[in-house]
Amino acid sequence: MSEERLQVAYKHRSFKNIIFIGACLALLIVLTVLAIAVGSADITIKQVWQSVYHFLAGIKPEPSDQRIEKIILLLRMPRVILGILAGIGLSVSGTVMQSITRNPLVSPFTIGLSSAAAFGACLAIVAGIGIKPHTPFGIVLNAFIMSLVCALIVYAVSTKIGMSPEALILTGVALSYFFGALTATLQFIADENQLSAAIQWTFGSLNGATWFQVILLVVIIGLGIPLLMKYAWVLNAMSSSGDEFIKGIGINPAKMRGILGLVVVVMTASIISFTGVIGFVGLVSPHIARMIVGTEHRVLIPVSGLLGGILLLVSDTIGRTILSPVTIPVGIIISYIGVPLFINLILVRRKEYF
Amino acid sequence: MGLEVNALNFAYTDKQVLDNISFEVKPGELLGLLGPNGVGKTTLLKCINKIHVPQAGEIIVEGQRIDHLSEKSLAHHLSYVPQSTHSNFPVTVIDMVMIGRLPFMNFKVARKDKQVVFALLDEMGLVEMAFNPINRLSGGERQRVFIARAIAQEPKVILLDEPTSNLDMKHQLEILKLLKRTIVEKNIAAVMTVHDLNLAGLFCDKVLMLKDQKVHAYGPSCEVLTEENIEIVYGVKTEVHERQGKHHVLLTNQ
Repeated sequence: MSEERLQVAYKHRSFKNIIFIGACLALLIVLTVLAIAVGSADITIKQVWQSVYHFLAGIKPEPSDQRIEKIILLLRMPRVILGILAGIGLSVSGTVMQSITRNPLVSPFTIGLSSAAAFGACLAIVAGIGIKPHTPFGIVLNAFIMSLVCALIVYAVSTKIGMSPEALILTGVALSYFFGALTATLQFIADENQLSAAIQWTFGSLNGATWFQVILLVVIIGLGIPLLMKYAWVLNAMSSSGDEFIKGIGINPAKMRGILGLVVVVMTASIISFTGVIGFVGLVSPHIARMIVGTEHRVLIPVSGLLGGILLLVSDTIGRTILSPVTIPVGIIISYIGVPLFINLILVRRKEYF
Repeated sequence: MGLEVNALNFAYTDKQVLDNISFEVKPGELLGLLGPNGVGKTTLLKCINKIHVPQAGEIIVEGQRIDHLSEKSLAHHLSYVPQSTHSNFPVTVIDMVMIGRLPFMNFKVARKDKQVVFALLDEMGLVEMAFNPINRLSGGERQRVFIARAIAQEPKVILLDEPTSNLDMKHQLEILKLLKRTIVEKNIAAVMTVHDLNLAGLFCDKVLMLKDQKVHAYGPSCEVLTEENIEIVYGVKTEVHERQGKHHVLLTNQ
């Protein structure tokens, strides 16, 4: 009798979760269209559809529509989509990082990636060191390479001491400070223009988004998330149980931290190399998602990704429009929106969560 | 069948911990692992669990030497209940118990997995709290969840690391009654480390006393739990009384 009740309740929960994923997806699509339409150049939703249709069907637009369609296709769309991808990637990375370290305070940046990326960018901007350091792409490449270097050091050090969550977090935090010091040293010797450019980079913004960046992130995130989803049950176990138990069910926790960590590092590093440091979303969307759908990763990963995408999209759209024509970097806005939302959720759902 | 340990030796790089340990646990039996803190009880469990690799000796689970089994296939025969742990995330009871099915699962939760878990939650009296986060449960309830998770693995051998620590008397009795009933019903060989000699006397079919890396005494609990053995192993004077075939240990203040 009670078994049947459980059967029903379990089914009900799965059904509710699927509906919620669907609703998030629908909301994200609606917001995407709205976000493309909103901005300093007035665009109607019809024009958005029309230009996408024209592009896909290969129809040349009327000369009077050409300017608008260019804005939509070359400025607004890549920016909006890049923002969504960054939000999804950082949130999923944050979820996985928190789970493999069993630590709710961890974000994708805890192991030092953002400081290392900032140092890489700064090295190109200030010192002119790196591959083609004076081009925007050179800066991106430098940031990416430096994050990987950081991840490699963290990996090398923590494997020596058994790849425990504590080893990962402590080495990561220490390296964050180290790269922070390196960046500060460069900024100390930089001239005014270089300093301004270097600091601008760390704000985290979607200015200058291109289709090339979008396609690259689609590929990386499109490969990364399914791979992480494949390990959903391993993540369920790792986030809730100690290493002793994990080993007992035939999983090698050190190896898993290596594999899953690598996916997270590549996703995070490629995102922040393009956008600069967009913090907070990777820390907070996993928690918001857990409060709503619980800790089962088959549901948690897609939901935290979608919520992260929505949060970043909304933040950037507000950043673009609130003081238009000035654009406020999304890295700043996201904390203004995310923090009150998060604190409110903590207060409302405190009992279940803590 | 069940669990068999023959002439097991284990040393950390610089220190011998276990020397020539042998014992056997048959299906449906509960063995109590006794000895003072730091004597190597948990190390012994870790050897059986394949976390540590012993230098010599053999461990046989369901007729198979565990060094011939992969970790994954060992997980089909053997499960482990760690000392009660706190979770940093609001994991629900049902999700926690479902993790016990992991050795049998890929991505989808199969009908069999659900059947096993739902039935277990019912047997363990966890239906009412199935969708509550484990951090909101009492110590006794949480211990039931961890035992349920281990039984969900459908093991032939189960290892428990101090399942009664942190529990009050009522819940100590409740957990051990539940454990005893479950291993008899499902024909599982069980090994638990335990500090309370009275609980060992009441519930364990056999006990094994460790002292100075070696087995000091091993056998039916009514034979091993004696004043002499307890004094040698723990260095404490006690009075042991027999009542209805069970040995009860009284601490004395001398």
